[in-house]
Amino acid sequence: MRATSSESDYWIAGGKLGWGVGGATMAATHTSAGTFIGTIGVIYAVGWSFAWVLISIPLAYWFMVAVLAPRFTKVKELTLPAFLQRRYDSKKARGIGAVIILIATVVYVQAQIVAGGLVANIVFGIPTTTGMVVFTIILLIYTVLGGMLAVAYTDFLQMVIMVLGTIVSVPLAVSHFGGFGNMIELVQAIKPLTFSWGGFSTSLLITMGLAFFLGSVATPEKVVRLYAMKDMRTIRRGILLTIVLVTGINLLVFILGLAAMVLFPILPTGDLAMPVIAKAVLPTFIGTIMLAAVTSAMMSTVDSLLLVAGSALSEDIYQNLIHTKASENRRLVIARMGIVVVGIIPLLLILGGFAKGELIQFIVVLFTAIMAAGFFTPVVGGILWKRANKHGAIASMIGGVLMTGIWKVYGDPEIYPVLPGFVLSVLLFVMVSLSTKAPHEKLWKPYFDK
Amino acid sequence: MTDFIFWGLFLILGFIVIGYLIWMRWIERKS
Repeated sequence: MRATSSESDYWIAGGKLGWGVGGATMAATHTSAGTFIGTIGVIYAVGWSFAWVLISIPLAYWFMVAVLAPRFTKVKELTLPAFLQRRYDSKKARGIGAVIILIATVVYVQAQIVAGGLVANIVFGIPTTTGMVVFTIILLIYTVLGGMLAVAYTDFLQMVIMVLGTIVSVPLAVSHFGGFGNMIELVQAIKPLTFSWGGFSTSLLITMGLAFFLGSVATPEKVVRLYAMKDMRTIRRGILLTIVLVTGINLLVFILGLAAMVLFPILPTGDLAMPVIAKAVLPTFIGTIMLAAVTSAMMSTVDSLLLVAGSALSEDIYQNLIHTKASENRRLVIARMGIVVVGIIPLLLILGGFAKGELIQFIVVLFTAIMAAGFFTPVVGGILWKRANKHGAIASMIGGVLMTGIWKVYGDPEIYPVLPGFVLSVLLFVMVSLSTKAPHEKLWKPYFDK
Repeated sequence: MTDFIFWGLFLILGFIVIGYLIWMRWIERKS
């Protein structure tokens, strides 16, 4: 692994990734502790109806490829906030985007690190704190040194491990019960709720599906991979791979969740279901591979987020707003420092006692909702609607994120916060853009020309 | 009911992947 020396290499792998690594890194970034620990936790608690939320994922990626990518990648940037600056001619929009990224990332990374400690504790018996610290340090080392190239290639490896882990474990777990049909019968006997629609209200399921959709299309750690891949042809194939990998792994993992229900009907928290089943049931070697898969999932998501948060801090905030004339070398130094800072903060928060008690999956979904409410509209709207201007973009970002947060605390819990957040972001985007000056043609032209 | 809520999901996902493949071919033929 060579230390990267140019900004383009560092943030977007020089824009040269092929579809294999590109698709794999997108899938690996997407698949996180949310999948392996969090989602199983939810299925365990609430039943198979949650799995239907999966449908929104391939649809989201399809939308990303068909609608967003062709125009979005006409001009390659180093970060998503940089796109906001170019399209809206606004440093402020870029700065706000960066702040949203930083706040959301800290929360999300925190959840993933907690999961890391949990797994390390169950597999190796080491204290959760040690596990968390070790996990964070390893991530920081290769991310800081190698940037996007290191992240993309380790993501690829981690994806191989995830695929192997699930392909091997699931048939084993199922055969434990004498086959699929048997297992399903057993699950039904123990937890009749599982195969009914009763676990979640329909409105919550639909709004969660919406959160997954909106949050899968235009979030910074995903769209930056569109910049990293070579061209549209590569992107189409890469994302096909992503879809197959993500939905395949999710399905396999949910089936493991069913197995866990039968084997351990009573666990203190759904989050424990997966590590427990891996440790207790699968033959040691397989169980270890499975847990390696979980760790891979976490690391491949966190490294991507650290990179994006690091770029938000060093490029979109520091370079953009504070010290704008640094040389490329100096910028890379600052970049690396930025990543260290955003990696250490969540760890400090956890060690300081601020780890949240909610199911990991709900933190993941909240993160997704914030990103969706913050970025979907200005990004997708920016390449679809010429009249969109900086005021609309800024209003939609701030309004969307605030509304999501406020709804989470005070709103109707049957309606997931993404919906009001997104609706407000669209309303503000349109109304504020229309009631202020139209943008100059040169701002939208690059994206709309053939 | 069990059957559909379980297998129906696989079916729909399969259709989406096939749809994507068809769309991809169509788009690349167009250009």
